[in-house]
Amino acid sequence: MKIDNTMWFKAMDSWFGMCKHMAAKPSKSKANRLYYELYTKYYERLIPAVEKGNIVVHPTSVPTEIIYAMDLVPMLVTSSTWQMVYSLKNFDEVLSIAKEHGIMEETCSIHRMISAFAFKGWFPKPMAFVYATGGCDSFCGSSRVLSELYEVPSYCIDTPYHYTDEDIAYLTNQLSGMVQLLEDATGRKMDWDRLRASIEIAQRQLDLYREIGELRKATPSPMENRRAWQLNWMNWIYAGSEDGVRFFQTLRDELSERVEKGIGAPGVEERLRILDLFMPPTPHFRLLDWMQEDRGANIVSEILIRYDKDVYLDPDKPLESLARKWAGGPLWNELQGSTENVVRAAVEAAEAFGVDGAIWWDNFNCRQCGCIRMAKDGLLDHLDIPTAVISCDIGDPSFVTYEEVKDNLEQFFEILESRKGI
Amino acid sequence: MKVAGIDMGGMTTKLVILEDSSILYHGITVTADSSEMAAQRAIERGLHDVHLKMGELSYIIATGMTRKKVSVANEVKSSIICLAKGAIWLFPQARTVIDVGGEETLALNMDKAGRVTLFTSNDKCAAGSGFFLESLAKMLEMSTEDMAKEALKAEKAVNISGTCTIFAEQEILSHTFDVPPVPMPDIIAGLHESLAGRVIGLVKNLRILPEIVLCGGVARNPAFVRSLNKRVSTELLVPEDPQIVPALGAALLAEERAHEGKGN
Repeated sequence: MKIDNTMWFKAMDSWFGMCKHMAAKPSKSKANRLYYELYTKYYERLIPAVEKGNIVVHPTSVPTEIIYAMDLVPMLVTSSTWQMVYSLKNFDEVLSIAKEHGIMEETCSIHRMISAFAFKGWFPKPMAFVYATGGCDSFCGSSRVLSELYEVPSYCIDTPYHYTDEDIAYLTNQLSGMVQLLEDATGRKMDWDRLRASIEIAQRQLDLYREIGELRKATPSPMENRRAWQLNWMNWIYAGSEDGVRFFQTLRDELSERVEKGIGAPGVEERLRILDLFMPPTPHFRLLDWMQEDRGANIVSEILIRYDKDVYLDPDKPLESLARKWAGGPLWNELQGSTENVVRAAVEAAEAFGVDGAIWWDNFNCRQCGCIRMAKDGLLDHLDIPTAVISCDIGDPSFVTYEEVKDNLEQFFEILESRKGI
Repeated sequence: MKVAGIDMGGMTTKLVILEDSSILYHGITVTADSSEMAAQRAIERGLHDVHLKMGELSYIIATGMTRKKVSVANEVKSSIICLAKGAIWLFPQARTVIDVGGEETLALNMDKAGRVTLFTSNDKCAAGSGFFLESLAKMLEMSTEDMAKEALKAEKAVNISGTCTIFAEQEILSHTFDVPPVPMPDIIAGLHESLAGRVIGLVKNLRILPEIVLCGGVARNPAFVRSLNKRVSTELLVPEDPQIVPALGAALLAEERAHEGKGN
């Protein structure tokens, strides 16, 4: 496999430049500025690591504390993919490459893009791939393609279905296997003291994450819609780090101040409270801003990225703690386990946050969208809350355009306003 | 007090003028050119027919695909909201509304107060709408009205499995050239069954709660109504003029606004 990092570096330079620009730009939100500063810092670490080859690639949500504790840098395949196509605006080209290599169009667009990059050798070559069965089945597929084409050692974490003690023990063992693979593939040893220290920090992050969630219950809800996804991203790339704690604290303090003053996000007049049931389309992320600024539709909670379980971490049991943290939190909620769990979580959150309506971003060809009917019925039957199923695509902007999605959302907001008599 | 509701469809523009909650005028014009021109033409015709001037309309609400392009409208409202409003005014017992238009099919559930609880549409594929029958009518060189008459003569509707218009065309040809050939009424009945099957599949994204109102241009097709009726547990309620329901809903909302003191 001939690796050609030209495109990756070009895209990352562009993305890096954007982050630096946003970090320097005046903002009404300290948390927003800090987010871009930290994002820039991550790139300042990632880009040289790619040049040296000390990166570990993983698709999503694998405990990055383990990777950092071995002085390696994690590179998220999904976000890199997205950043590349978004920076280079070559969606059509990339999706065509996937098609030419026989990847069916019925496959999720993100995985078609990942596969296309793998076929062309456009991803940097890592020291190892780590991926998991959990969540999206397609991650196993596209990750395996990557590791085979790149001839790089890989480890697939077999994730359990439930959250029992036996399941956690099993997952802990799987993480132990991940450590072993990384040690063998990189020649580095796990720094267990460093890992234990990061577990202590991760607990502080967890506590802050929950505090932020509680603050969002206020009326008006104090947080910008897109901030939740920034929080999620920081939770990955700064897991178990003081920089991560700094971001969470800054955000928590900002929201606390707004709640004390009885105000919402700057410039937002709350009219509707929305529960987000799945991943918004990344090509049209600015819809989250439009929803809030133009229509006063505050997303008060996201089922996909909340901590569903009360997780307490024990630094003396680092791998078990990470297993509990992973299985009790973001992405696991909806991408793993039973649909009954999804419905339960949706109904609980809808009630706790006083929502007016819910949105399921119906990502084309996503198997998680098999839950839609149950979630809709659950919210309607238990709480008389309507759900909009918004057709979209997580990676391909041409499948449903920005204007089409916006039109469908407007329709839904009109329905909710009519129900509220506003 | 006189108000108007205008529904800007892809193929037709529908106008309803109300006076004190009574329908003074309802009409359908072809949307042949720009939405703005189509709206203007529809309104001019309506006003002319009932001897009114523009300034006598207290409030105008536009709905439909191109509602935002109607400059004379005081307000725009989504099709779903207007559909619910119009349907429950006509049939207070309605809980499910299915609107099968030329290019789009909408469906919704509502409670007894007319509040929408669930809704869906086929906005991605025109094959689940009247477009399906229109394009096959062209292939068969018949009008959709004649197709419906033929379908009603069928002894046994043939199964048309293709969900896409293109594939359905292929199936028509294969049935026509079968030995012996399948009778044309049976083929055409099969097309209506196929559309009804797709529409009901869409509606199953919601709940099929009685009473069920069927509207939209395709509701004027007796063969389609028969096919859809077979798939639901209660007799479908079809308004006398099924195409004007969203425009009626828009007019009713305009009346509410006018009573609030808004508009002219």
